[in-house]
Amino acid sequence: MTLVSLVTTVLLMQAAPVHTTHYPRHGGQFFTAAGDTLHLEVIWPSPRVLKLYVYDEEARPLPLERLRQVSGRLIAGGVRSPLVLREREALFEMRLPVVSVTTHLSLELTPSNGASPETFQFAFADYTDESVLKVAHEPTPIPETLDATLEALLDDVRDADGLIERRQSAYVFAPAVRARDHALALERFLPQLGDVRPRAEAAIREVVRVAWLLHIATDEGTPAQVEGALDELSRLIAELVPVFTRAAR
Amino acid sequence: MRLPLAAATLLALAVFSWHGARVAAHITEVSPFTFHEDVRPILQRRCTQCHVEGGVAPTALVRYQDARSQSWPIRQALMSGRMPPWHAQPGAVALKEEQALTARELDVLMTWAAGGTPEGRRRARIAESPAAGPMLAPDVTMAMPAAFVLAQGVQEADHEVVFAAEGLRGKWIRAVNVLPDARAIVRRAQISIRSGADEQVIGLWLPGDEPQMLEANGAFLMPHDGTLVLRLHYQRPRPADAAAVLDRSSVGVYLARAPAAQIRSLTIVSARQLVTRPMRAVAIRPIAGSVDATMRIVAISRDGVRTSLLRFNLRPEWPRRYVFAAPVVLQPRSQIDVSVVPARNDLWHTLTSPAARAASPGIFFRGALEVVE
Repeated sequence: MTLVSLVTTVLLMQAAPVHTTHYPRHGGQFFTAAGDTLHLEVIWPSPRVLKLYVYDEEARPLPLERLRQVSGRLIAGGVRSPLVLREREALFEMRLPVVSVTTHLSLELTPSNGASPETFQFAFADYTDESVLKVAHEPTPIPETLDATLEALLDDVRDADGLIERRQSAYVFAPAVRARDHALALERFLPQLGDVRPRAEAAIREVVRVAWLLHIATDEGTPAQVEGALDELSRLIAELVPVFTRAAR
Repeated sequence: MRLPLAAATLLALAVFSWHGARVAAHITEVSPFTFHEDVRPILQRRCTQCHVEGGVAPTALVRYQDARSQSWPIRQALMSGRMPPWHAQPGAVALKEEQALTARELDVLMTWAAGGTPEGRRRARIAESPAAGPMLAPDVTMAMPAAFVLAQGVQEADHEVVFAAEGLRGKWIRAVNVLPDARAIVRRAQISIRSGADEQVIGLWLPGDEPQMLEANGAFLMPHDGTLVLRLHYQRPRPADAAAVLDRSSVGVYLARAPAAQIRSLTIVSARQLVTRPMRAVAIRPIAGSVDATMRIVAISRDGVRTSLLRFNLRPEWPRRYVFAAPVVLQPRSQIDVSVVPARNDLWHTLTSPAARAASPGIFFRGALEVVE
């Protein structure tokens, strides 16, 4: 065994590094930078302004003193705009010329003083809706009552439908995660169900399974596949709700 | 500074490929669940009867390294519902010995497999072998009279053994079981009573199964000219395994202590069928049908009240009998309605291989409703 293969084997045998989340918290595009020690999120909330959030290797917002070491520029439509640090909001802003929303953009970023610049090329399909993911990182609020939990599940499907209608299927994972959590929260009410308990347990399990399917499809599937998974989740929730409501009566 | 065209092209390619490798489009979460504390107990309860070194599954899931290397197949198998191989949901009546994961177990495994597969702290040593519960000893055990040889290079084969079983004639059989010899290749089995030209299936077996006792004091009477027929399906877990393997499995028979109620099999198909005599349904045994569909079996009373009995997807490689935890009373003039709905249960399959669903074999179902009268 060569030294290289030995090292590789030893590295592979070590525990997997705890992987950080890559949720775009503001609904933007997410990148890793500086040898995976930084995470970037670029959002395009309005025609003339691009915003850049910079996070550390565990996707926590970068401290201000560290942000001050980051520099760079945006190239859009042949126009170069410097990154301007907005210290109060802890983000960078870049002004854009008048360009179409699908224009290819190029970000040249120097992650710290003296480091080599790195280039990111990307495009947007539409302007970013910053409000989409405001709650995606919070623990799912779990209602106290059965009726409210069931209503929350139906809301999750409505939220996901709304995202797809707005052509934001990439963010459907957020209501998918909430649907999973709401479905699991229904387990508290199983003891009230009597004879239909086995059926309700199976229905919860199916909702959890397809919520995961939707979650992963959001990440790795096509929009059509996301819609297919959402249709399935919607059908399962529509079947699950009456199992609980009939038994609770 | 101007770059030569070739250099500029190379630079552009480098930027794009580098950029492509670094775009983090996935949405992995950090798993709060670890292998040793949360995942391993579930695998031991649910998976390692087959997923163990020397088991029928091609991969082991006993050690951390095994499971970690399988995190993506685990996700696929769970999301598609392909594993664990229990493809039914109970209706109004609970099923016995349900082998599905609970919702919580499913979520723990998915979160762990998608969330960095953390190892966690080793717990006090847990037995590495599959969790073999204290299975009831059979009243009669019959070994195959001769070993079957899965020849070198042969991947799978079927084999039938007929036991004269004179000692069972005139006795009531409550349940049967298979005691596999070459565990790694005994993939499934069917046990029947043959009498003249008639044959009645009395048991299906899959690795890890417990003997299935039916409710309502139901049992199968062995006729005085009856023989016991064992049909085995052998399959190598890995195509690379080529050496010849010998198997001499046994059948375990559980007898009723007192006269029992004869179990009869009523054929049910994808249509509505009238019940003519009072009876109690104790199990449903699918025989054949559309693979890419969901079967829904409902009892409709003569007053029109619908009682869901079972919903399942047919998986021919995992034949099962679904046994009710309590018998279902069927009055004369009630009906059994079997509907077959094209399923979306293979949604993950379509996500990974959209063409796979293109050819549908048609929609149909045939099965046995096992009843006592």
